[in-house]
Amino acid sequence: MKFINLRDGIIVAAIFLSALAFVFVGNFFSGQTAEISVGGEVARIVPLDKDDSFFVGDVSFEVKDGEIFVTDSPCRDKICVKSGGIKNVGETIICLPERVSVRIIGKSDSDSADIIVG
Amino acid sequence: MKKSVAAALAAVFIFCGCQKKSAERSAFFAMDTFCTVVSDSSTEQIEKVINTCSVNLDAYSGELNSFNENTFTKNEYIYDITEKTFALNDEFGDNVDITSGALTVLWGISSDSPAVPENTDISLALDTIGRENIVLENATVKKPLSTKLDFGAVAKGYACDLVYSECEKSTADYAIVSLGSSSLLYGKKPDGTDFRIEIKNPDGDAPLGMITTSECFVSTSGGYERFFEADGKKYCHILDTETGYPTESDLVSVTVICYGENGGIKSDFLATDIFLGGTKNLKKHLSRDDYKIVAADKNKKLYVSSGLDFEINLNSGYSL
Repeated sequence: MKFINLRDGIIVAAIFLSALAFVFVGNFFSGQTAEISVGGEVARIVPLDKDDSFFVGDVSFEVKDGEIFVTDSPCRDKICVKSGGIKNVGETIICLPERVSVRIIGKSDSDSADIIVG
Repeated sequence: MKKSVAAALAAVFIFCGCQKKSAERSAFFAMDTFCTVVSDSSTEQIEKVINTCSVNLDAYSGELNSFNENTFTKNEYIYDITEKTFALNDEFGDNVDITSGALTVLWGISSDSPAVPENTDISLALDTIGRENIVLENATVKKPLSTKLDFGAVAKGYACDLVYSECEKSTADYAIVSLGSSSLLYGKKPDGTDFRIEIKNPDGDAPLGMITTSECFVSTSGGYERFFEADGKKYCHILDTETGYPTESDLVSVTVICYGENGGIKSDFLATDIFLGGTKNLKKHLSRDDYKIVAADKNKKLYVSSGLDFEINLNSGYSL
């Protein structure tokens, strides 16, 4: 009797390949990505390689030329809008009144900072 | 069939287990700001420490609010942060004043309706300020009813100190904990390189530069992010308790790095203290060994402590 028959072989291969897919899929996001959180919970992950505009809650965003901007928000001071665009890993835009935060995540290169202050 | 499936699953688990341990990340709102935690160990305990600290020291709710409406408290956080701040006041002076709560509320800069107060109201608020009226004894903080405590200038740094203690207790090899204006860079990164701290440009363009450092606390102070405008004038959120008005300091940004125990509250305290002191008081800080600073003034000049590994960004518009 054969140790392994064709059907078993296919099942084993399928399990193994799907595991490999889980391991490597993260590395396919080689471009930068923005993570938008509301109240601390991640609401949306946005790749920055495609121009786009959308809302998260009442805050409107635009992605253009690899940068993400807050274009409008119901908050009073609009500090989030005045912050301008971000595109480097670690950079953030915060809107405290709306409890919305945007940060750039993704493969960090040796030039980027661990933390941005100021 | 079962044997081979089992073998395949075993291979999968072994393979996945051998992958590099990825960092744990956490992001949440606390201490009136957006907080992030990155660590090779669980972030849950760190998050808990920050949230507990936030609840105890929040000026607008809970224990501190009750204490401000009263004359005494036995709250351990309030006692500890008050005692530590007063020790810093003894060493560095009274620019930073945690008894200035009445003044902060009067200016309401973070509230929905900030406005320039009347001079008479400012005088009344100034009368309530002064740490000589605070008594620390028997694990109790006592104050006059009219004096209001506000830990805005030191709370985040203090929270970073608590996080440091938590990291020491845990198995974490490293942690990068940011509480907005105060942060902790703990331990050593997996790749063995030093931490890199980028300092934002107050004018919004290319960063001022990059600090390379081993484990430390870092805090910043600047008037350009939280402010309100009235009659065409910008009023920043850092108040001068001598005048009762927002400071007119000629500095636009101060970054302070401290090392070791209680470095968090010290860096937070100094960032505000040095900012309030202006360029004329910078000299004595630049030669200190126990902390390092990078300061920028309104004339686009940078001041950097000797012995600090700071790489200036030539495109920032600022120069040494």
